[in-house]
Amino acid sequence: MYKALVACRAGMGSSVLLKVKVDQVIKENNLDIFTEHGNLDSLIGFNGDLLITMEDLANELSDKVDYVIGIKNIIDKEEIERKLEDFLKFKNEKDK
Amino acid sequence: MIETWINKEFITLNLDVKTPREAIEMASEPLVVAGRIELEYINEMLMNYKEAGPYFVLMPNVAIPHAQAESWVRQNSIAISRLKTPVYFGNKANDPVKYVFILAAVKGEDHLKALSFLSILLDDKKFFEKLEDAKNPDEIITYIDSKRKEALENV
Repeated sequence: MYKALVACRAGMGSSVLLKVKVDQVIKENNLDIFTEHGNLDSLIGFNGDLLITMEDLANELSDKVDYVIGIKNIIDKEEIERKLEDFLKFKNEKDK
Repeated sequence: MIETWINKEFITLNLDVKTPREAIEMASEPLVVAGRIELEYINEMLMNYKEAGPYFVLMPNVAIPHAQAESWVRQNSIAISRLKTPVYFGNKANDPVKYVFILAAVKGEDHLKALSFLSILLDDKKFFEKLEDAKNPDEIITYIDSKRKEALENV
């Protein structure tokens, strides 16, 4: 089970909206990921596998965690699913 | 739940603004008038925009400004504005912005239920049709209310 942090710059708000959608996608597709949400301070000491944030924030955060997903459209489940599947593929390749 | 966050005074149709700054300020105004937020909360949202950019344009045509300054929020609130003319916020994927949802949440409470419902609304094409065509805020409140009842039945 992989651990993901869903975070945006200002704690409560977009990160919660994003987490609601990501959790739906995870549940519908039975993905081996669980999420927690927070703000950028939560990144300090975060020992999980994945950061999920909005695309405009993804670049500045890409060096903080092993893998960062940036979402463009918070209601686009296909985009979220595709990016989560890419992450799982990346992990599978790495663990081979 | 959500009915305490939104009321018809917080809905502005055909807001006439030219810049993102104006849009955030004017869309928030009803919340200041109603005593839901302090003026400082608006400054914090503008600061957040300046420092972090337009990431809060979370989906096509929809901006959801908010700030981590919950001490300036007196009561959980959402204000909704339909802009008369769409405004470019600088978000490549989702510009231009036609609808602004100001999100103000009190610190230290669990907002998951209210925000889950907001997420249902954001994913509802009919809601945006209503928002686009509504002649007055009552029509939007009525729609949100019926959607809320439907969502409760489906839990």
